[in-house]
Amino acid sequence: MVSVINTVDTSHEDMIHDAQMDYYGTRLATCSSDRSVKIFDVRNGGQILIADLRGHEGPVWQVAWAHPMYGNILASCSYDRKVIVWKEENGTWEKTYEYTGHDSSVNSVCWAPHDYGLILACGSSDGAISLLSYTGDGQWEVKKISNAHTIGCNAVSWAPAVVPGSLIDQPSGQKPNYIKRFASGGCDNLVKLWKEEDGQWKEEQKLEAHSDWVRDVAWAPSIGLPTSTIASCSQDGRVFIWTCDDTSGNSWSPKLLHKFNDVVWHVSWSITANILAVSGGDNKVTLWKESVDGLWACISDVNKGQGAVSAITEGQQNEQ
Amino acid sequence: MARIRAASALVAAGFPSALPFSTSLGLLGKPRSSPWLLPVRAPGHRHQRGGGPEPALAAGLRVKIFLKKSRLGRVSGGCPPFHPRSLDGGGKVTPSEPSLLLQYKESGLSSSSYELSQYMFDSSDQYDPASSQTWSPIQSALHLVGPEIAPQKYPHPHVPVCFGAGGQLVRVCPNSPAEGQPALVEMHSLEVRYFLSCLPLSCREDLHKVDVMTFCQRRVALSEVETQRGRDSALLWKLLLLLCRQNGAMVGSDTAELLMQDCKRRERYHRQETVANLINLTDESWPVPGGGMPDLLTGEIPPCTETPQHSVEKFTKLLFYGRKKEALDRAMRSQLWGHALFLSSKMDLRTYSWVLSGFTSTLALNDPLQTLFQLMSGRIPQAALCCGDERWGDWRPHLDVILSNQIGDAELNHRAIIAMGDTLAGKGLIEAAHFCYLMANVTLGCYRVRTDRVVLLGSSQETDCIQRTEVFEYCQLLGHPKAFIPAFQMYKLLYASRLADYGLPSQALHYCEGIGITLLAQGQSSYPVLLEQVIKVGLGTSSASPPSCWDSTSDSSPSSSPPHPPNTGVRVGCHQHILFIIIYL
Repeated sequence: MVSVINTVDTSHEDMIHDAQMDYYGTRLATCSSDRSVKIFDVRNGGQILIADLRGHEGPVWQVAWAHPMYGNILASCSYDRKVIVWKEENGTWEKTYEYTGHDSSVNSVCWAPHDYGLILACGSSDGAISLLSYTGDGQWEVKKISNAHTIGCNAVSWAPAVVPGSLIDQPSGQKPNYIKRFASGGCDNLVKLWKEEDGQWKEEQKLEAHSDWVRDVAWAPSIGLPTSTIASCSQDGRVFIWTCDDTSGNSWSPKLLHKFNDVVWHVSWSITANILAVSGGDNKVTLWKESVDGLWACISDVNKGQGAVSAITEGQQNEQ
Repeated sequence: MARIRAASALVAAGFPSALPFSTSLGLLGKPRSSPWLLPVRAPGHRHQRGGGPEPALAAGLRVKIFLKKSRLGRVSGGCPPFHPRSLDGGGKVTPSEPSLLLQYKESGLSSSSYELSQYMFDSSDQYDPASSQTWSPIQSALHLVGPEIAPQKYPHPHVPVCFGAGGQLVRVCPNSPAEGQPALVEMHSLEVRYFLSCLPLSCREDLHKVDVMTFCQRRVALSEVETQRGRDSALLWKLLLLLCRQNGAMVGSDTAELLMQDCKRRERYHRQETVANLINLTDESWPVPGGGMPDLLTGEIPPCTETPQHSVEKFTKLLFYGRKKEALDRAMRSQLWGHALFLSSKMDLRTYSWVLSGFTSTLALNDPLQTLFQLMSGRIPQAALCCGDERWGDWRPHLDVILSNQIGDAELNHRAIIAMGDTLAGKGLIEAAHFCYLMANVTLGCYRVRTDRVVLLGSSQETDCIQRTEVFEYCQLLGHPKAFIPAFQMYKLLYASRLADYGLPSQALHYCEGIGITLLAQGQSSYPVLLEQVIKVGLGTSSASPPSCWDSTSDSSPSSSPPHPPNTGVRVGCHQHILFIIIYL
């Protein structure tokens, strides 16, 4: 069952485009077409406005919290072609960095796993993906992948900082050799995987299955099992689950989760990748879980204000 | 164009009315260098949904085609209409002619009809007529220069969704504040009900043996007995129950009793009539019982039916003449097996084997007696390779007969049981296969390793499998306090992560502690990655303030040295429940 525990009235003056919880689940950041980013304290069912951040000149599409080890940092991207990094200093939120290197709307921002440092990936409608790395003293280094996707890039998502299969292999206690990877989805109907080699970003894989613009990609978190998983959703109404079983990351195979009747806007993994939330043009949110034999089943239908919705589970049926 | 550039400054300052033109496409030009493209909109413009004129097309080619054929009348607005404030509305405007864009949309030429639809002139949309006067079409100024204006990422209200810590789900309501609906965000708590009844055992405080046994009994009661799979599943739980009762010791005869308990339908093993189906273990052909072979001495063909006494007489008569082979032959055909076996056992080995196979051929192929004889003769029984098949009957008596009579070659017994398990697994009877493997003391491994036969006990929903394996681990611990199933710890971690995701953080945490303690008991440096992940999952469930270790490696002032990933060193988990310190290099 899914039950509503809190409803936050954000007082945004236009559509909300993203809402993200911070690492501890105590703060909620929202962004809207009204050009503002708001942060609320949502502990214990409350909703206290902490900050109303202004600085964008267009609809703000996405926000992303950095890992708390770097402090309270939030990134936002907007139609105004800007990426702004906000930071809480001495109790107040301020703009700490503004990136204007894109020629068009920046559609997606995503922080890399904290093990790699403070790195932000940004995908834009100009087709490029920028990687902003904090190098210290208020300085940020920029690496740009031009023409990552023709027409535009809609979503970026980092791979977890876990070597696939390490949980089973149990390598010796030395620091693992991470390879930085992320996935992007674009208007060329493709999902692309990027890999850093010798300080340069290269296209590693092209995943083709969608017949229309890819609206969102999400690389599933991992605890070190050998399988890597990516979810992608598209204008064509399809959601695909891509899996790769070998550690070199070369052979990805798609599995169709479901074909919806309308565009699917968002896919999002739970913290430990057991559940996938899918949200589409019909404004319905469905939750999906993989069973032992690899089939994906819808476990719940989260609809507005309905509170407890029955979850279809085997266990429940057994009990009855 | 100069006019446009001059106006750009004004636009940037927030006065789009200074913009001299609009086209059917909205603003065009060179987005790369044109500041006037900044989507700024002054008060006075209403947000338009759907059919409003939003510069959305980004495909240059599409734009080209469109413009060449455009007969569109004036389309108001040039800036993306995303202004939040609702306004007193303007009047309705009716389109003068059917929109070409509408035709394109319906023809399906464009893949993203959303983008096209944004250009469509929808009569139901309201817009401020005052604003329309600021835009006047300038078609002559149009030239296309590649990908132009970015489409709106989300043209309509939608439902962004994300997960939060501690089993929370954040869902934005698809409201439009511009139309007076409140901008709400819902926070949901995910607690899949069935999980509460399926908590791992180690989560429970003061777990007693009786609790585990009761748990197993309940599972037995819940299994469906109509299907073979259900029965096998119940059997597996009964085995675990038995193991628990016996503190992890597995005695063959006890489990055999368990097996036979279940066999309500005693099968009758009918002898196969066709000779061709019989297993021929020797080279010689068998005498067909009742076959018409004439007696070489008397020349008469023995009748098919004969009294036993008569048969014995015949048998004895042949022996008077020293014709042992024929006597044996006669005895076998007359079913005088005792006589035949006695005589042949005192002759050569070959003859004895011949008589023996003759005897076993009278048994049904799937008779458990066959299984026993074959095993005792030093071979992997046929049953081990054929069981699980419907025609072969129940696998249980066969396993029973092997388990209860383990004499002689222990290694052969072991291999026979494993072979049986493999056959059952190959036929999809996983629970039955796992029962066999447990009897053979196969170690539990992990999915990735092909040679590992068992990973988690059973084949139903993964949670059930993890629970079964947990009970098994518990039983082993009862017998040997240092018992440890390495690969299983990983699945326990998986389970803990699920508990965390499903809104049961404290149980997840408790479970992680259990795993952590088990791993530490094995030696701190044995499973570094697993330990690290256990900590991550455990800390992730924490609702308390961040651990102090992070504060020491990060620095909030921007002027400090760049934050680096935490070096391996001392990691301290100082949540109120976790108190273990892991130190590894």
